[in-house]
Amino acid sequence: MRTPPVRGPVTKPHDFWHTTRRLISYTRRWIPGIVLAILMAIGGVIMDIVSPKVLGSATTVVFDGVIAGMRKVNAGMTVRSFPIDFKKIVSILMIVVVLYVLSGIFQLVQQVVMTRISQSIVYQMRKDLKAKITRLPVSFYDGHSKGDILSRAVNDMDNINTMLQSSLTQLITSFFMFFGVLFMMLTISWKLTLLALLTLPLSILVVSFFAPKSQTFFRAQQHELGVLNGQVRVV
Amino acid sequence: MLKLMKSRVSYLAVFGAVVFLLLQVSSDLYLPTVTSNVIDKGIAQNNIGYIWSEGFKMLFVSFCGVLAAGGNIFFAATQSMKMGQRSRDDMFQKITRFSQEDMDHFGAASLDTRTTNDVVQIQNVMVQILRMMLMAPLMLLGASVMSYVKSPDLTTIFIICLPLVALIVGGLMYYVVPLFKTMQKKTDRINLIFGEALGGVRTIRSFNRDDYENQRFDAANKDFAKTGIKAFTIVSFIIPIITIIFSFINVAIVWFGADMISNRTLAVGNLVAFMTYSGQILFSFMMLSMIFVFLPRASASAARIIEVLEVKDTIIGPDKPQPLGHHEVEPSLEFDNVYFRYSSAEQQTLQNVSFKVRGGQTLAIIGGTGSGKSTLINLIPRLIEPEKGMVKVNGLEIDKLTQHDLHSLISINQQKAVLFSGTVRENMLYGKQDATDDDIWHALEVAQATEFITQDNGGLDAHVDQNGDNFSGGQKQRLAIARTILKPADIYIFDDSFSALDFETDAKLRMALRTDKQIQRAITVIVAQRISTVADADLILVLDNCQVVGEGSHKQLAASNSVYQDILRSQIGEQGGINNANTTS
Repeated sequence: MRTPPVRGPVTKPHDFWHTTRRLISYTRRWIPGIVLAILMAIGGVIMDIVSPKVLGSATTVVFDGVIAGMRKVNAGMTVRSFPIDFKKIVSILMIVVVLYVLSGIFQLVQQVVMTRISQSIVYQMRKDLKAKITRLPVSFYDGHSKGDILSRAVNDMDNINTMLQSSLTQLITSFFMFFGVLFMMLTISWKLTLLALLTLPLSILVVSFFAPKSQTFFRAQQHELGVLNGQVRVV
Repeated sequence: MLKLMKSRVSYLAVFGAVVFLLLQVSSDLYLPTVTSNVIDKGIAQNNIGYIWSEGFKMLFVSFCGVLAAGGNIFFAATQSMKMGQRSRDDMFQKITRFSQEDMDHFGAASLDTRTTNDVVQIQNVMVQILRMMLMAPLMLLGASVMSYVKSPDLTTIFIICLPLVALIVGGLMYYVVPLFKTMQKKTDRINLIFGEALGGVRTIRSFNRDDYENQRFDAANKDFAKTGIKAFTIVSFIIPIITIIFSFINVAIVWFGADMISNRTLAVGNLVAFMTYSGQILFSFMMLSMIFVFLPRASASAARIIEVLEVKDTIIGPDKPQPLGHHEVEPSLEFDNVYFRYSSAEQQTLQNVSFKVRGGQTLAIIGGTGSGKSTLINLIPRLIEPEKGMVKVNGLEIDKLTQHDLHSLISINQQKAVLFSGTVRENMLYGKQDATDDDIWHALEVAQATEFITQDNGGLDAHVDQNGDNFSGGQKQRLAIARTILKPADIYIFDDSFSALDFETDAKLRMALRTDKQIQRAITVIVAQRISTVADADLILVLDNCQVVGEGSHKQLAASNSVYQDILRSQIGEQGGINNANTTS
């Protein structure tokens, strides 16, 4: 998660939690909506996970038919068509359709709700920022670059918006997706699952290496943007 | 959008990005084929050795894919940032060349948003373009080809459904694109109101308008949020709709596929591969649509940036500029039948202005508010262009000189003193980059600024806040004047620069100017509203209603010019003494 930038030297992780907590305090009003979005996310994930398996069972039915047919061929009989249980396939496919439609609906609701919530949160934050600025003494205005403050009000807010709107939903979805898929994989074959999990520590290592680096760069970038803004305004 | 990219992006690097992307996509496309081969030849025929060899192949191909992705990202990121940097640079340069009219056309807040926020928008999209927007069609094409190879019949499903998807997404886009355009405009507005609140805090608070300002901001804020909600809600429909349609496609694939398999016209492995490719087509379609969603916002930003860059330079330097002569040439300033009109005005702002002054002389321009004084002044350094007639500096017509050369001959003090954040010294060096501290102190002395800039309270290292807001109006003016006289020039122009000074300081300053050696040989042009300021000028021009209605010395004008006499009377009381109530005019 990106944190709002801080002027001055790059700050340590403990600032990260402080700012995150503040951000969370903004979401308090919207808890019911967020809960709904999370539920939708879970629902969508379940649909997304179960449908491939169900679809897979359709291919299994096809495969069964093929194998039965191949056996007949190998036994020397001429086979014009493989005995595939189409009735079964139809029922499976109908279930799949329902799953997909539900998944679509869940995704939609989730996204719509989060859009509304994130825009409202950012609206509130901008409002509070303005109100705070209004209460501050004039000496604050003299001591700070107008462009920098403005950059925070516009550019940084934009970033928070994007984060809440897309990144957060992705985070929730991915989180549940991880466990859901893991469960599915285990039901298919726990041996294969174990094998796949071996690659997990490697991925974690890669991410933990790159993510903080990119964080510092993003922070610096936003800081520079503020400085730039200040310079431009003067002209 | 492409216009912006031209010449701001290294074509080689973009080519590199595309090549890497191709490699990455090929590896992505190759893998499902290998998988289907493994299923058909390896698993179905129980050929373990084959599975191993194909497995290693896959590993190798994936690894290459990762490297290719890395290469692509590197180029994508650097190129997009470069483009952003160059665009900002170009805009900044352009804006410094803007005429006053151009500035007013855009407004400072909008220019601000364009150089910052809009550039950020195009930067972000640029990265996505170089990464995904190319990947999506490539993958789409590749996956389509592969799926056709695997089974031409099943591909017909795509041919039917994909146009449907395109239609739906296109329809949604139609509504979304204009919304994104207005979002940028609304960002402008938020920028504007917030910015005004920051700059005008003293005014707002002293008039107790904080609540009003907050309400104004709230309205703009709400407006922006509402538009955002609308725009992004429409966007939210895109992915679910695509997903649902594609699920139906998958169902159709399995249904018809099963039919074909039972008729032995399709191998099972091919079906699996086909489904994977269908997934890739879905994926690339989704990517394409996401890009198409954010592209409008960025393209709106790009258009705004280009709008700034395409403003025609109204002041164009000469093709073959005349070189400046040496400084032994006696300074002179001449207006020869000059007419001026603002481009949107019906009436001319200046009519038939003619005069000539030489080095050592002081020209004063006096007139009521709006009589064209500042316009006249702005004609000298060619900040605006006369409609008719000619301005000559040092005997040379000013449109035959480069702007740079012309400006090096002139030092102007504007009506509104502009100071920059930094130290006093930094601000002074603006006038003359290689000025020594002694030079600066001398200038400050002449400008009567040593009263408040002393060695004790910081001296030349004293801090100046943004806009010089930590100084009073009169102090700011004096600092600006010091900066003006620091610059060695043939013409010094003071546009209403003494208005914030009291009579005594005003008189002291002008005396100091007259006795300063450097300024003595130059022409001094003073624009003022106070008779006392202009009284001892060599030549006084009286402007009234855009025309020169009087020309001469104070004595001459006081005796014969009715407009001048009017001004005199209003400023000096009936008894001939100085009227205290007219201290600020």
